[in-house]
Amino acid sequence: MPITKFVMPEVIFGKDSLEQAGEACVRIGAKKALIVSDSGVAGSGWLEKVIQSCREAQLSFSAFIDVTTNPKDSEVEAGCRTFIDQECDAIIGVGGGSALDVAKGIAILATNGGRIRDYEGVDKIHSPLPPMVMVMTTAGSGSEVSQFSVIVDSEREKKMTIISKTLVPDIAIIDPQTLMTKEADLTAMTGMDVLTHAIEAYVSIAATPLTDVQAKNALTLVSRYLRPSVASRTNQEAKEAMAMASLQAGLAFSNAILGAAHAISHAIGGKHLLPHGEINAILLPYVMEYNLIAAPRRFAEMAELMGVDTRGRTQREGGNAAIQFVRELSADIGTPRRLGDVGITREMIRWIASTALEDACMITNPRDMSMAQITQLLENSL
Amino acid sequence: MQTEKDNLIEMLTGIKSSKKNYYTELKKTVEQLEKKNMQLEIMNDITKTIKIDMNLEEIVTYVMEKLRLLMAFDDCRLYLLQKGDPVLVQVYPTSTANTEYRIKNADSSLFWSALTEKKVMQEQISTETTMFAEEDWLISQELLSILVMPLYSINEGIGVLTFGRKEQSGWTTEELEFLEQLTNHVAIILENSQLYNAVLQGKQEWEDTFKAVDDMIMVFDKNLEVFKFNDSAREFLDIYHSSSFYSSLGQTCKAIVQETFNSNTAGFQEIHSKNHVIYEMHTYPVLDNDQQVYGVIAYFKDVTKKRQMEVQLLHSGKLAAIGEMAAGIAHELNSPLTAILGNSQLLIRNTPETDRDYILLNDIKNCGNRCKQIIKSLLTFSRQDEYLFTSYSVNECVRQVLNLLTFQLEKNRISISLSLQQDLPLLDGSQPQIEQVIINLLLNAKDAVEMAKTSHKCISIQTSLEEDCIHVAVEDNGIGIEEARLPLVFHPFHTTKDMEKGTGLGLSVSLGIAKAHGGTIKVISSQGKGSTFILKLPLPDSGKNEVTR
Repeated sequence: MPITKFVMPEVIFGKDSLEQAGEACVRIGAKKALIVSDSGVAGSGWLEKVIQSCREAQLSFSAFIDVTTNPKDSEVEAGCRTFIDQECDAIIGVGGGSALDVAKGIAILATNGGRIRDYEGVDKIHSPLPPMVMVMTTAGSGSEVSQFSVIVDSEREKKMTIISKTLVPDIAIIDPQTLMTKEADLTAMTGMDVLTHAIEAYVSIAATPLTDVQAKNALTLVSRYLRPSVASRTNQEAKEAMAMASLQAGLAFSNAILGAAHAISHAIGGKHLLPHGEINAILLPYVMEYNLIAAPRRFAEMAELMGVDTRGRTQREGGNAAIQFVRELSADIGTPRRLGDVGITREMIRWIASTALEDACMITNPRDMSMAQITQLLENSL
Repeated sequence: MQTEKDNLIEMLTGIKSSKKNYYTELKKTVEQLEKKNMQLEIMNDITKTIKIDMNLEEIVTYVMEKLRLLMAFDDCRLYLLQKGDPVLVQVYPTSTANTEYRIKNADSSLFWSALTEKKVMQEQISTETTMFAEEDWLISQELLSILVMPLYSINEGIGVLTFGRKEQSGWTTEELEFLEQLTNHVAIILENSQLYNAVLQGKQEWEDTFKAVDDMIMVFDKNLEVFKFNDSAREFLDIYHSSSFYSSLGQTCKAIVQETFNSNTAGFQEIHSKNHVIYEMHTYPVLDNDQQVYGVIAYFKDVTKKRQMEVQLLHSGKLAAIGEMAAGIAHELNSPLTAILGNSQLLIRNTPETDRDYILLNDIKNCGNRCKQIIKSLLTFSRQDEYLFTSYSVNECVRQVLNLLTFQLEKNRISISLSLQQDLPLLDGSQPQIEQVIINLLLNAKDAVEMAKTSHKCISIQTSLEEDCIHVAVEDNGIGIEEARLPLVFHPFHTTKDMEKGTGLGLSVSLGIAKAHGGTIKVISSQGKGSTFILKLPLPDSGKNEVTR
């Protein structure tokens, strides 16, 4: 067995864990924290709780809440200026994937300098980052535990994937309560994102037994609880399960990396600024179909984890059942089914395909992909 | 392709990459800070410990010892430019001091280039090719890497500091940065020290000059107190400070100093002190930066001798005039005298010895001869070449003088006893001057015996050879001199005689002549019994008493 490595932050999970944010930040040496968030979170009241916890911990802070969906490099640079001007020495990210990715980006620039595009790719960060506490309020991106940060290069209209162990936050706080304020469609989209993370990590060629455990458990939880979670904002059991699923899927993909669905999703998201979860939800079944022959046994195992009765079926049949399950789930919770539904046209395919091929996530996809194959896949999903 | 993919996967999963640790980085920073701190400490230490008056060796040894704590080197040398030449000033450790290397003034010299280009130079020694002039020497010292730091002030190279290591190892940026700071610092210190010494030396020179002046210099403050003075003034103050004489002198001086303070211009006054010393006092105001007088320099020049000389000059001018007149008269007298002598001889020849007139004629002839003798002596005395030093006989001097004075003395019923030691050696000197001295002594003796109311007036003249001196003693049985007045008799203008009779210069001029001949005049006297003046003249070869002219 080759050497494997599993990197993760200190994880604080549970109801009201949000209130520990300030104390956690002080614990890792912060004197003044920059709180990075978006206006949505600010309006929900969760940000207020984090700020309250900072006051209680007697931690000075400054706030940067100008984060948008599919965050751009300019936002990171503005945040970094605040960080430096306010003489902060730690970062608290509060929100969904966007806020947390921007928080990471600010951390990179704060100690490494330069522009965010300098760090695109794998392991380009040369200096350690300021202490980071990530408070996840949406469940989905897994950014609170992952070594990923995805930022849009506004000049090139491209989502830059920055991957580095240095990006793994010091402390991750997941408070399932926060999920109760999410709208149903957001719950659905982020839920599909979690599912994509779990599946791509599970079939990744960099998967290890440790990531498998996380991926499988996340898969089980999503299959069981995504529907009820979308159905009811107040289903506490479902919210807690989805929060755990998001966390575990995050741990899995952070260490096992992703696959073609994410590679393509990054390409589309950068150009057209569409919600990440939505695109993943559309692409996932098509990518699964394409990858099926690369790992039929794993796909069959997935079907079992999803609760599909696979007895007497071949691995391929099991795998197809898993794909079918994903399609049905997507239909049930109402996420878009085809790229054409979200405005992607045939003319865009070539650019999307070539960009996706260069994405770091493509490396761990179980089945090799050519330009022709990816174009075919995209055409199928139109 | 496959390996590249594997590689990427290993990077993605972290097998080949890890989270950069903040703590590790912090620790590194702290370590660097600690090192920086130590450097600063050393720098601080150097500034604190090095005093401006420390000498160069002390400074450099101190710096090198401190440096040793911070970085490794096996050899450290300091060269400083002296008159355009780099000179080895210090070697550390001192055990290698015997292997001096002289920097060559050439482009190939690493040391020279560092100095002239003001650039840090470093080299590793490779045995293959000779790259620079110092290589052979370094190899002989087993030094394999060398660093040369230039020392410069403002824009000029003042020297180099070299560091040698016995291994081939480079110098880190950090070490170089520190050394650069240090050498800048050392350069400033060295420059300060050199400037300080230059200023000190300049000050010393002025002080020495101030001290060397023979005349008294005093500096007065606003309260008219002396706050600075030179050595001559110190002696004067030591001797006279408590005497009343000083206070009276002080009053006069202070008045002038005060005037200088008030007027802000230089002042001058001649001061006659009670001890017969004459000073010329010059005062100069000393101004501060605001052109305000804050002190007065008083310069006292002892002009007693000068004045004396001036009077002597005047006197000898007079004497010369008298001499000339006397010579003229003598010449004039010669012709009638020749007629008198010639005629008297003619008459004698034709007069039998039995004739009543024979004795009278003979008397005329004898007196004529005597006149001729007197005239001859007068002419000799007043001769123009009188100040040439020649060999002369003291006894002859006495005889010549007596030729001139015997008549005068005998006329005053003064008996003269003469005791001249025969075979006295000849002396070098001016015969007329010595004659003048003897004349002075005889005339003084004559006055002394005349004032005494004794019946038997007597003056004795005695010449003798005593050790390496010839003594001419003139003794009289006159009134003598009071004891208190004895030290004063040689002072110029000191006289007991009437205005028309004496100038008070005789003895002072005589003493001057005696001294010019390397001799002196001694006086022994007791009041009412008489005096003896002894003119002592050294023999020509008596060495130490060389004749001063």
